[in-house]
Amino acid sequence: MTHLSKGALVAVAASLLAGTAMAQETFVINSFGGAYEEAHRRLVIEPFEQMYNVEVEVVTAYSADALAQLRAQAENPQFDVIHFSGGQEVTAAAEGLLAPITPDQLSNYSQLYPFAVEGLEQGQGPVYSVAVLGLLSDGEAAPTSWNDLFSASNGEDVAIADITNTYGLLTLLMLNQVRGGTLDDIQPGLDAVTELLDNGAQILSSSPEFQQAFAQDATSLAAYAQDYAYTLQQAGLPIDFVQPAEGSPGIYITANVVAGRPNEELARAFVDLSISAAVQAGWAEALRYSPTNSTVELPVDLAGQVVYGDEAAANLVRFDPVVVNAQRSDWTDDWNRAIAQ
Amino acid sequence: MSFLELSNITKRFGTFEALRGISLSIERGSFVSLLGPSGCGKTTLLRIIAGLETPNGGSVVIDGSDVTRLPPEARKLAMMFQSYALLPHMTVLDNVRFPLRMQGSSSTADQRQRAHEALALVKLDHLADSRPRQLSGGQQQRVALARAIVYQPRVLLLDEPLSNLDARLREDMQIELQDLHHRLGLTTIFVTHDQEEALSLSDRVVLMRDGAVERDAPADEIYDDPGTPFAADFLGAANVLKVLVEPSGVRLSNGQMLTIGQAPKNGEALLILRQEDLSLGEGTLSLDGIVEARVFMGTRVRYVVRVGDDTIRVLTDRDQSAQPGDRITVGFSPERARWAR
Amino acid sequence: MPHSLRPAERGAGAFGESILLIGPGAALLIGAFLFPVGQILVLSIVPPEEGLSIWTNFARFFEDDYYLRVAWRTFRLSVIITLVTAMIGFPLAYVVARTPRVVGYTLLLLTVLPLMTSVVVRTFGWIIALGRGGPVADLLSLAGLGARDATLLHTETGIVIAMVQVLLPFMTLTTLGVISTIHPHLEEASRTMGAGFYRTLRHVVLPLSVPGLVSGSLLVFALSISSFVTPNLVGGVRLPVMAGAIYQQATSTLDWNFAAAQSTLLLAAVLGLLIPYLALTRRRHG
Repeated sequence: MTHLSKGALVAVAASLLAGTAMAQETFVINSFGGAYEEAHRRLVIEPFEQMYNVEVEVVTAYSADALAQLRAQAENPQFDVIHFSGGQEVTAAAEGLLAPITPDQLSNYSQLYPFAVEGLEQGQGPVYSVAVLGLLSDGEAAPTSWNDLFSASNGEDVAIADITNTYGLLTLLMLNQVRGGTLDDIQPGLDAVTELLDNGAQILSSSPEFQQAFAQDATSLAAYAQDYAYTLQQAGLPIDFVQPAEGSPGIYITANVVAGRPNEELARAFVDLSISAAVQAGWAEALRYSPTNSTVELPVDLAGQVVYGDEAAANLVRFDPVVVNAQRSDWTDDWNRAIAQ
Repeated sequence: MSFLELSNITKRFGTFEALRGISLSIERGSFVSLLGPSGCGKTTLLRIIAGLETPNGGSVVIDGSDVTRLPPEARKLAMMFQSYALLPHMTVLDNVRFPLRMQGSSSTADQRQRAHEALALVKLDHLADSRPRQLSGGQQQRVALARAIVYQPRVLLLDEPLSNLDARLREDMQIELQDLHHRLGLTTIFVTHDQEEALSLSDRVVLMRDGAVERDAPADEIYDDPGTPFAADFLGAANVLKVLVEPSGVRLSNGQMLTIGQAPKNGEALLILRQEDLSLGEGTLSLDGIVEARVFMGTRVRYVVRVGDDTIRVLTDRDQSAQPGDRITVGFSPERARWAR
Repeated sequence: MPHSLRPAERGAGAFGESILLIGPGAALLIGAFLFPVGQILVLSIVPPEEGLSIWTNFARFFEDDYYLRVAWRTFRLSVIITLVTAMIGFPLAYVVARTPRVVGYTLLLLTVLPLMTSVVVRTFGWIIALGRGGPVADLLSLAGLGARDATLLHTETGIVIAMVQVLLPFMTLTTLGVISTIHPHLEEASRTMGAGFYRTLRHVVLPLSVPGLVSGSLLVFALSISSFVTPNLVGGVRLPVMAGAIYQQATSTLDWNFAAAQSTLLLAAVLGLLIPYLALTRRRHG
């Protein structure tokens, strides 16, 4: 098939779908690069191209950058679907950059956990996977609670992430919540971190450092991401992931329809595909992300490595992204002062 | 045993044999020149005496003790370098005081006193507080000399000390060196490639060639009777003629027959004639030749004369006069003739 | 001055040619250095709220115990790094200058090699080497200097070790440049005058190497006071240094004005060392 005839077919399909006679424009989305983008292409983008006979152009842009581009293009948007992992959809929706989605426009709507679609009313897209923060243990200890970080037999074996790493921020907020703090008062969380440091805990700033620490046996218990636990297992380290009883905060990844584009219906179809059980099972398989679709069935071995199921999903904790974004700078300053030697 | 005994010294640099078994005995208080063309090993020999090079074989004995394996600082010698090697970060006085300070045998005041005395000896006491780079070449040289004699070294080693000076200064320094030698009586070894310097300064000349001693004799003796064609050539001013000794006399390459007493036994021999022992015109013995060149030298004139296959040089007074192309006779007395061994 | 060339004699195009030759360098200097530095200076005096003094950002730095402690650590570590680098770099440069070419240049290559690897790769190497169970920590515990399970990761000692390795080439090369100009006769003369090897090093080579050691030290100090990748990765987040704090302010908390004020102070500290040195060397060389 020549390029021309393929293009013509796409145009016909698009015009049928959109109910207009407008010529097909490129369908543009963002992704996050690396292994993520690889899985993204395999699980969503390529099947989507097949199903709707469109060509999808992928722009690698992380959440903050994607929001900045979206703002800059407000008059003439260039993305059809935009993905965020840092809560930027709240801002984007408030600024009118996103096209609201109603429940009846998503065939998979009813399968999603309530937390995954609670943003729809505010004009945000649904959450299609969650990177969960929990406890990584090398098997020596069998943690069940965030408090086990404080009772580790050797305080020096504990590691948490720095606040410049989103998981570090979530650790702070989670410990804060466990210790009775609120987003208006994170002092209990800072005190908890100080207590960990006094016990000899380490603060690491990047994922490879966690791998290094586990590999050198410098750490046996860490607060970090579930998907990275999988990476460590792939590297041959005997790491278990535990979702503590108090619940796990996560990084919520949303798929949003951009306002002011001619292909909104196609974009909604893309979002709908993203939240389908098959795709979410694929994410869980590929990167150990937690599904937000209640109908996802995972094989037993996989199920043990992913926060998964009604009960576990109910245990996911989400901090208000608006407050978090507004306070992040001040918290960073407080954190730095609390941890500096 | 002499004051300084060198026995069978050998030195190799890679595959190059710099010294091939040198043995020398040097008496206390004598002034010996090591003379030879560059690459003959004279400087290497000096550096071996100083301890700056280690010989591959042989021994150096000073005043009865074997110093072959001693580092330079333990030998109590002084060496003056061609480059003077003044320490640029110290004043002239501190330079001269340096050996006393390093040997630490007396108080600072005493060291300064002795350094001033040494500077006075070379008439430079007024420049004690200058820096070496503020001094002229000749002055630097005298500072180096003062520094070498300030602590009464057992042997004074001089490595081509005059070669960086212009002709006038060199003559002055020669006189100064001789004067100092007479006053201090230091055992002195002087390396030079300048035969005039060697002859005029030292009691004894050791002529070196290709890492071996070619001729070792008192200065006047080596001058009068160089002994070998190389010595005759290197000491300059001597003509070496290849002759055939026959029962009836000595046959030159132009066929002329001469009668010279003490001729070696029949066969080929080398006849040595000093150029200042020759004159233009008839002598007791005469050679026939053609003037090839005339070199005007102020008080004297040098003629280059072709005699058969040989070219001889004749040094004469100004009043004798011939022009290139003239057929002339060169005369000499038989008792001035020497035979090469 | 009959022999000097007056401008007219150099040819009519000389001025234009000079502009052409100096152009790229000048453009780079202005575009990539003076302009951003100017911008930083401007940013640093913009107060967080209108109506406040232009010194507000600087005052915040000096009134806050936290930033002063960060600055003090940065300064203290830079001094230690400079001293250690000089103590290792001087003998190394001497050996390179005075051993046969092959040996010397191999040593030099080994010293300079780290410069050819990316700072991140090199630093992760140090993280492995300095971490628990790593060879450096093991060596130290073997020598009885630390517990068996010791780690130098996230310690100031670790920062110093990793930084010294990174900066050693700068010290060695500048010092080597000076030592190579010292005539070997000076050392030989010193030896014959009764100074042993080490006293010759102390009394002859060291004083004559001072210009190289001083410029090497300035270079190392300026580089270490402003470095952040190695201190951050090896030292970890609990041992912040100024450059790391500035980086975080600029990228994470987006407080550009305060970051600019800290950058200005860092720049002032480096210039405060450099300018007296330049003035001193200029006077010495007339």
